[in-house]
Amino acid sequence: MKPMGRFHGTGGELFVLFLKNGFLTLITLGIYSAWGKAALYRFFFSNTEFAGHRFQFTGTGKEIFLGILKAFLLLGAILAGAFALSVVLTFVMPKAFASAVFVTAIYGGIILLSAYSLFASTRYRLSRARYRGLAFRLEGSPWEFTQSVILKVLFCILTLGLYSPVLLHHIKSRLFNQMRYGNLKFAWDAPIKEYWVLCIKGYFLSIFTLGIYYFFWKPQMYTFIRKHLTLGGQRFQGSFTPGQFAAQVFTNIFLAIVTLGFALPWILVRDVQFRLAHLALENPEILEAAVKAEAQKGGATAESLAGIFDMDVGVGF
Amino acid sequence: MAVIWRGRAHLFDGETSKPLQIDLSLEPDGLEIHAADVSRFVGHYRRKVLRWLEVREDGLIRLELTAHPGVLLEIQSQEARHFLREHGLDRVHWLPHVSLAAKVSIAVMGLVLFIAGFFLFGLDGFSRLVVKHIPDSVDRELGEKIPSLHLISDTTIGPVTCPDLDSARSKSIALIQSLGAPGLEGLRVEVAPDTSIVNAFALPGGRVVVYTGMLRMLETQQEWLALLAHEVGHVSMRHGMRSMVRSSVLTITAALIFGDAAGLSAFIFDNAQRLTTLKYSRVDEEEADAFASEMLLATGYSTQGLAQLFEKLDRVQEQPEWSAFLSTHPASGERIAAAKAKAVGNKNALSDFLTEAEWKALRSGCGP
Repeated sequence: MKPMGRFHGTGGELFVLFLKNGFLTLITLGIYSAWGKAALYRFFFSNTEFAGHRFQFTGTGKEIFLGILKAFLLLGAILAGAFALSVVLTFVMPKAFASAVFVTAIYGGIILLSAYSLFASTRYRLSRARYRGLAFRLEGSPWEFTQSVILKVLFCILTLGLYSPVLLHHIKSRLFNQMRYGNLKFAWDAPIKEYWVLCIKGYFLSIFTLGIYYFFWKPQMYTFIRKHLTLGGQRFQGSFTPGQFAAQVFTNIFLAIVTLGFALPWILVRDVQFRLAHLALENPEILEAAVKAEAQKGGATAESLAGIFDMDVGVGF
Repeated sequence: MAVIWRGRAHLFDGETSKPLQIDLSLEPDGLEIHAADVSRFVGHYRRKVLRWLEVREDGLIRLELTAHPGVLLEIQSQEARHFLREHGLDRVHWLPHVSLAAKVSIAVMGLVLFIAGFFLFGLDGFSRLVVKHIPDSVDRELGEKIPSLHLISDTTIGPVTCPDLDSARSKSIALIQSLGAPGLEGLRVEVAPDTSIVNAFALPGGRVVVYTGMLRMLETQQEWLALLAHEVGHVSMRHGMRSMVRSSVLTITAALIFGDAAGLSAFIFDNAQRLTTLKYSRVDEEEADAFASEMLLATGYSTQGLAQLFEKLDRVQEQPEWSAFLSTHPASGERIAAAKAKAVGNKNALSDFLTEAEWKALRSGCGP
């Protein structure tokens, strides 16, 4: 496999960008963070090359800022709603039950909102991503996605996590299968049974071997996820050896420790470089065959919600 | 016309993903496409119709041609980047940005000043305004959120009670309530049996908690009445609620700035617990002092107790066992002076209002 990905950015550039964003965010009392986020996206997108061409982020700081405002209003409304509910409930049931309902409503709301924002933020990022002049998009609606996830989340809790690979498979499958590049479709055909076995084996063996198996498991997962992903019928490829992965991880840890965390920008860039250096597409000619499809709208509200919950479950290129 | 750079580049027409090869030159007044896979793009484009998207350090240059919506031009050349910078060709886009940055900076500085001004001068007034619109029942509800004393301190026993102490409490409460100050309907005094804690505080809604450690330090009934009147002042003027509003505004602002919803939710869940560690503002403390003075004078008692209490606070500044009370009630020289000034004018103090047995039960927390 000849790698087709390449990252042009450097840790130094990212470090300067972090400094600039941090400083401006501080003196503007946080307002600049939206523009800072847009600049970060531009840095990562514009520096990412695949099959000879680079990505482009077309989103703006302004729309992310409006998204943050809407996200906070939405959160406030939900909290106020839950509070009002608990007040009303105190009239009809004992206080302890009312508080239990309140807490359940809050946690339930957070789970629902997390699922919603996972979908909607992925949709936002894809809709603002351009490659060779054409945009990506994510079909389907965030509510539909949220509904499809909710029972599975409950099962995960009930089975103490044994069901979680099914949930992860479902999320990946939904997101990948609804992704489009122009008129070309992405598809993910990973058999659920194999995925479940791979995950469970990974969790338990990693624990039993005190983490050693993790370095064998992660490369397996990476290859498995990519080999089942197609674009316009062409399969993605990508693999690395446990040795390469361990070297990558340990170097990152070493850098983080000796620089007391200051190497973070370099570590992030190294990671993107590592992933891109192990990614290819069976027949890249397909990338020239995409035709423009209808552009997708969709604000940055969920993008900000996902940011608030510190949730960044990328679709994993 | 002087050609500043000539080379090959890619053009994406926005309709397909196929890159079109173009031969172009950058010129001081725009760019010229000499040849392209699709002939309709060939021609001269003036500076005005070029929209520069990015010029990156590694030589990636991206621009749009406003005459052809959706068309993207990509040049990859360090040489082209240097020429662009040298001749200021890409400034068509950057120039208005500079002035916008200035506008944004001014707006932001204005906002910073506004927020700082609000926190320094407007927050107190704002909290008063908000509290006016919150019903009294919410204060009581909040006060009750502290279910038992062991949540407040290490004390594992609940508030103490015995007939003499109960009657001392009822007499004290009745005396204060007889004044008719607002918000004192639910007034309640709890004596916490812990001699190691020298502290007293008032929770919103009228729950006043006094530790026996504090009661033992009191020498006269006038001091006790002054202490109680001061704490009741916080209740009557709803300082607890005001302080909550102030800290809510601070927390929410901080959460907005740092995007920290976890902190926000923690604040909402933990707020009841915070009531015990609330620090009233200097203005709140002075208001409570004034309330105590007025109340003592109105009920016919001497304000000497208040002055004595403050003098005691002044003396014990360095003693560690007083640190809990002093941290929330700083004994400033001005407060002592104000209390003393009022005490001088009132010589007709009434005698003690509690019997010997009641006073003893109160000071010892029903102990021996």
